[in-house]
Amino acid sequence: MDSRTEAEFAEFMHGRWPALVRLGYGLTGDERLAEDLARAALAKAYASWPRVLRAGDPDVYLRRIILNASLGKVRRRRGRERRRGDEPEPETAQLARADDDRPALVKALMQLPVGQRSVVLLRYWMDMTEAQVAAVLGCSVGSVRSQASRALASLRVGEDVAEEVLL
Amino acid sequence: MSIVDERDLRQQLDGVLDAIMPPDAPVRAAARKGKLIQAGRSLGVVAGLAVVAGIGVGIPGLLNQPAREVSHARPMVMVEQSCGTGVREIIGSPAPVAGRTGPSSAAQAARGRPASELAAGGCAWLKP
Repeated sequence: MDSRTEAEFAEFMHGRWPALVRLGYGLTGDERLAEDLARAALAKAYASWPRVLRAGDPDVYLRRIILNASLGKVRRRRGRERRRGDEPEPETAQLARADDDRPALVKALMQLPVGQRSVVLLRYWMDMTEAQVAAVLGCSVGSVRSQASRALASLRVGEDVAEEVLL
Repeated sequence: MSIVDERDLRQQLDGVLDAIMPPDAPVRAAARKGKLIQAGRSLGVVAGLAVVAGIGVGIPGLLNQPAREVSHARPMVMVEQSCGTGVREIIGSPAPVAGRTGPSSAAQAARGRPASELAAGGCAWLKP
C-alpha cells in the first residue's frame, strides 16, 4: 500500500471507528469485546484495502466483518462446549451478567438471537433499508423482514414479562 | 424498558449506543496486523503453488515409471477359476492386454488365447 492509500485508509478508519465500536457493543453488550471486533475489522480491511475499494462500498464490507466475527464467536464457543461434553448454554444466558449495570435495552438485545440482534441494529440504529440489511447479512429481504418482526415482538414480550415480575 | 414502536426503538438505540465513547482509532496497530494478515496470505499462496507444482512434477513422474518386468516363471495372472486352454470372458484389465486396454477390447483380444500369453501384457482378471 503506498503512502497516499495509507493516508486514505487512516482517514476512512478514523471516521468509521466510533460507529464500528458501537455496532460491536450492540452485538456483544461488552465494550472491550466491541473494540476487539472493530480492531479486527480494521486489520482485515487493511489487508484487503484495494479489493475493498474496488468492491465499491467499504462500509458494507466492515459491517459484514463485524457481524461475521460476532456470529463466529458464538459458534466457536458452542463448539468448545460440545467438545468438552457440556450442554451448550443458550448464547443469551452467557451474555447476561450477574452484576449487570448495562442499560435495559442492551440487556433486552442480548436476549435476542444474534441474527435478530444484527437486524435490529442495522435496520433501526443504522437506518438501513431492508434491502441494504439483506445485502450486509447475505440473506433475503423476506428473511430480514421476518427477523425484524420477531425481534420487535420479543422485545415487547420481554417488556411485558419484566412488568409482570415487578408487579 | 418499554418499546412502543419502531420509532421508539430507534430513539432508544440512538440514546444507548451514542453514549458509548470509544478511544481513538488504533489505525497503526490495525495496519501492522493487516500487514501480518497480508504476509500470511502470501505465504499461503506460495505454499499452495508449491504443492501444485509438486503434484505437477510428481504425478507424471509416477505415471511414466517403466513397467516392471514380469517374471515368466510365475506369471501375474489372477484367475478365478481354471478355464482350460482359453478364457471365455475378461471383466477387467488395468494394463494393456495384447496391445489393447479396457475391458471390452481386452475381452475381444483375449478370447481364445492362453492365459500365459495374456500375462505378458500385465495383470488381468479372468472370469470363466
